[in-house]
Amino acid sequence: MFYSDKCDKELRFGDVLKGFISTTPFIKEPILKIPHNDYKIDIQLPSYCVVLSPCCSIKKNKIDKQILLSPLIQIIPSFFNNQYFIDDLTRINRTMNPEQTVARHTWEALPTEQKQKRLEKGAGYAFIELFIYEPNDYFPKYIVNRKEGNIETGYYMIDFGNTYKINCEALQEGQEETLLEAKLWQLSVKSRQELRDKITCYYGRIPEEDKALMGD
Amino acid sequence: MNYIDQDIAYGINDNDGTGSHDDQIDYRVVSYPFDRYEIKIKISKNNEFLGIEEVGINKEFMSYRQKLSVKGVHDIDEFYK
Repeated sequence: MFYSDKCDKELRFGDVLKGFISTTPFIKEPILKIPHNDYKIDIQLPSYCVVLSPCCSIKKNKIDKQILLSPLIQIIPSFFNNQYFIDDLTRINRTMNPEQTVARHTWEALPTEQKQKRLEKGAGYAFIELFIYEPNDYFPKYIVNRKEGNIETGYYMIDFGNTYKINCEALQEGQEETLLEAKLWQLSVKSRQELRDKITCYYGRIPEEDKALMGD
Repeated sequence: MNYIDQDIAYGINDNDGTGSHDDQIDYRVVSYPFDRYEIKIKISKNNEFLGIEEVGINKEFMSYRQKLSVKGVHDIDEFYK
């Protein structure tokens, strides 16, 4: 079960919300001289967004009236090139064997050396920055355009790289009713742990140059 | 991370005290992880094996890097463009 049967009265990590704007600042280059006004801020109202503040930080967020969110976006059409994903796109949320990460014909076409290298890595995440949300009654279905034929889907995803912070008065104590109107879905404990595991791995990767310096 | 370098504990030489006339035992204790166990080995100044001091459960049998690398990542973006 991807979603929980019932929603808590509190916000939880991974909750799907509506009604929260997203902002993205743009600058041409670092602002090193003041005054400077060559920047812009893009404001959007995504249909849905996901809470990325850890559950344990949400209480503290109530004091700050702040929360971390990431908009739900449409999935990448080429996911449907891989039969393993077509069966259940939320498989992208979990680790998988190397040969499951790409379409069968792509795997078979890989040079033996590259296959071996990938096999040696063992099970791991594909698309480490993405987390897929299952279709539900709220998410409108949309058409995914592909050369091989269009597909209608209700899957959405978040990209950890799209995380933003928002301040909202309704996040403070005593405003739960207002917030609950905005809360549409809550992840099951299992799905929430999968999200936690994947985002931890996303931030926990160690670059090769650091590995060399750390030794082992 | 080299456990041997990190976990060296020099033997406390009880014979260094004032008034001691016993032969001095100069050794160091090296902590060595073996599977889920941690074996403390006595080694002389010349790196000769002197004996096993203690065998215990290794509560930190994975290094920091190993802990973080338990779940690998496959770089496959190029196949989905």
